[in-house]
Amino acid sequence: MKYKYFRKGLALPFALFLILFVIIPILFIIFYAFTDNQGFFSFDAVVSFFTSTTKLNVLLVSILVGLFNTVLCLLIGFPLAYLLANPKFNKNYVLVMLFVMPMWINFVLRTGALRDLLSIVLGWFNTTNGEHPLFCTMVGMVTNYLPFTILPLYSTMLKLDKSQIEAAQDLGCNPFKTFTRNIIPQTLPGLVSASMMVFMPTISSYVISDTLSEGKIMLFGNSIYLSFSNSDWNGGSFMSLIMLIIIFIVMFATKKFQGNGSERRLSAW
Amino acid sequence: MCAEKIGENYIIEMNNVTKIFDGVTVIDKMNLKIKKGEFVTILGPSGCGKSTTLRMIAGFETPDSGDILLNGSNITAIPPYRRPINTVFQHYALFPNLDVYDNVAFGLRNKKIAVPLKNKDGSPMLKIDKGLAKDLKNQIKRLKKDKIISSEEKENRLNYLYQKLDECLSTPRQAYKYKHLSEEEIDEKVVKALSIVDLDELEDRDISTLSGGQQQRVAIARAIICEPLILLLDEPLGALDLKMRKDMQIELKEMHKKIGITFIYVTHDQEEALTMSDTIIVMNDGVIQQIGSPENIYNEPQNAFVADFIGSSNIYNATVIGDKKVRFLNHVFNCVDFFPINERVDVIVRPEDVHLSDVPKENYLEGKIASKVFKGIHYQYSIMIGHDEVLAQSIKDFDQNKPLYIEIRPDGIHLMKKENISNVYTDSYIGKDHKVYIDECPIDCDLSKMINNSTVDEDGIVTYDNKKYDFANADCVATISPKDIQVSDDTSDAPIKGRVINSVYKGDHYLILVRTENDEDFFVMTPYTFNADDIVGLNFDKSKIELKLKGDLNDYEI
Repeated sequence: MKYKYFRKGLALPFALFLILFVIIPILFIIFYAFTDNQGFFSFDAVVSFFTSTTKLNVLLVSILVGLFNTVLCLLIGFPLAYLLANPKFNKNYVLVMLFVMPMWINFVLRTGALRDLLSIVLGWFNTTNGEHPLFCTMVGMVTNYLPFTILPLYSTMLKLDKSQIEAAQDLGCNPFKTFTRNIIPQTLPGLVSASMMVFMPTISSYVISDTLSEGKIMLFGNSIYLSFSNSDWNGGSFMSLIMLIIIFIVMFATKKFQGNGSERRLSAW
Repeated sequence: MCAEKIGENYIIEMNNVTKIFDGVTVIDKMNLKIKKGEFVTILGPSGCGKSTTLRMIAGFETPDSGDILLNGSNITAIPPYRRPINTVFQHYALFPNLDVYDNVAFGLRNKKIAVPLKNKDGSPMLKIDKGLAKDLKNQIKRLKKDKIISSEEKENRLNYLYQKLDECLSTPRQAYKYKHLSEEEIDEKVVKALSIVDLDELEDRDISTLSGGQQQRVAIARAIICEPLILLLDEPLGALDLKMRKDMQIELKEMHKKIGITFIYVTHDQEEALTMSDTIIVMNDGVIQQIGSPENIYNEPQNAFVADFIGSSNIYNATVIGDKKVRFLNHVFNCVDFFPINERVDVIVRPEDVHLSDVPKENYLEGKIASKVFKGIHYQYSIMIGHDEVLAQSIKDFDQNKPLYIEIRPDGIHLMKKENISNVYTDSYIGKDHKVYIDECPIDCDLSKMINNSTVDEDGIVTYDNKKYDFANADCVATISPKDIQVSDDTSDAPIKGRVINSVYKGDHYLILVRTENDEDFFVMTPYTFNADDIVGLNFDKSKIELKLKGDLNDYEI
């Protein structure tokens, strides 16, 4: 019995951490979202968010940028992960490390460096970062989130069942059909988790767009940050709540995919 | 497809097919013909190249040299998805994201039916066949890469193919439109295929909820639904338990009769091969050892390997000592096979051909029971006759402590030509240090063997007839008998290390084949058992190595 209690006790530090830094802050966000600055219950923040076209616009742009970034990252990351998982091409782990290494450097520093690099490159074409805010933001987003796409894809690619690919070819799939009908379904769990890893943080990111577009592209993260720095605690909290709801919706929608996919794979083999 | 009509009745022909993986020849100049409608089994130990052969027929591997013909047309350069051949994979390789129905329908959904195109006036529409031209170009590309066939042959065949290509590009042929099957047609066929494999009730089930045997059936249904000309089965029963395997063997055989297409089955299980096949192809080390019916392979094995691999058998070294008389087990036996007198042969005696008795009779040899194992319907005895071991079977329960008498009748003795008794290394040489290098390994050998009646001094200089010879850098042929090589597990101080390729038990010793990293083969006689793929060390009895100089002796005089 003692032993059992001891084991449960091991979870205590994490539970404390969870309560202090996750549960309580969420409760705070909910509290602030539905009160006014005197602390009384009110829908002011809700009304002001849904009546402000600027804020709704920012949300829409953020979602579009998020989707665009996800698609770009997948397009670049998928073939890359496929190559990296191929032992003929990638004899040791070095190449994978090469793509993951940037993650070890502070991301604000990295973004700053990228801004200067971009301004040099754009300088050759006689323009500046400020004149191409969307381009610069997208370059920043892709370089920053590519490792997050590659890692989950790489680990599913390692588990890729070669005999299934051969079976598909055997049953009349040309290389393109083999890809769409077998490789994509096989890597679906990796694709879903890679998309999640990119989409959600992109919407709420603000350092990249802020630094690279010279403040010309406003994402949802920027606008939350702005509200808080202007002491609009209630508005900022409500927008954060919207963010949380989006996260929950996406998680719920993809939960089925991820769980089922990996379970099936395990039990079949 | 390029039509090179040769044999009418052969569905698959492999001509001089060679496959090399990373410098290792896995299949060596294989020639094989498979008759239409047969149940053919490719049998051999693991790593013998049987799966590679199957994969080449399926199209997953392309041979480095040689051709594969399907019904007389060359399919070597055609990718797997365009071959009318389907495979049942070793671990089934079902698609876990699809249910049973969709797995089975998978092939049909990709399949397209050719419909001849017609002009507006009803006459057949003619077009240049671009697909055929592409196949021919691929064949040309493959042939150009081939490094094995002679340049003359290459030239001839290239010319032939170029001629074909020109012909194809200049004469329009009937054009076709390709149509997918309708869902109704697919449904009808899926239902039929599922009923052939007895899975009618399970269409909507998830693959992961099926048992091994059911998954097996889905894999078969999925493969036969496209109505292939050939069904390839790559050890499909390997993952099933014994009872299920026996049932599936019979079912597969019945399925083969029912569908009537050619089955090519790959297995390492000799019993499975004997039960199911019309024809068995025994392979070892990338080379076909014997092709024949199960009866033929069992009763008339062509060499010791086949005899040892198919069923349990007694194999002995023997000498022919007279007309249809052979000596082994220190005894002279009458036999039915004719071999020239004094010829050294391998003798094979099946355990069921050894007759046992517990009382002495005429022509019976006395022996001692070394072990007795109950096998259900019979006992298996191991009997020592002198130093030789004889395996025998009997339904009688003999007393283990009493002597036992055995008789082998003439029709139970099968004689085979002996092969590879000596190890000959034609590319050995003598180094500057006057050591003999066999397989790049220096051996301190008596160089006076290069010339009869000569002497050798400490520096390795050979003196003969008052002339001195320095054999540094000379090429020579080294010969060593299998019994003069010692093999051991301990590789630390052995000059040569290698991997055991196979091992054949011959009464009182094993004859094992050891292959070194440099691809040299050594036959070794040893009293101990080694398993295939064991890493062993070889030691030579230096005084027994025979040396012969290559080239002119006078070149080495000093």
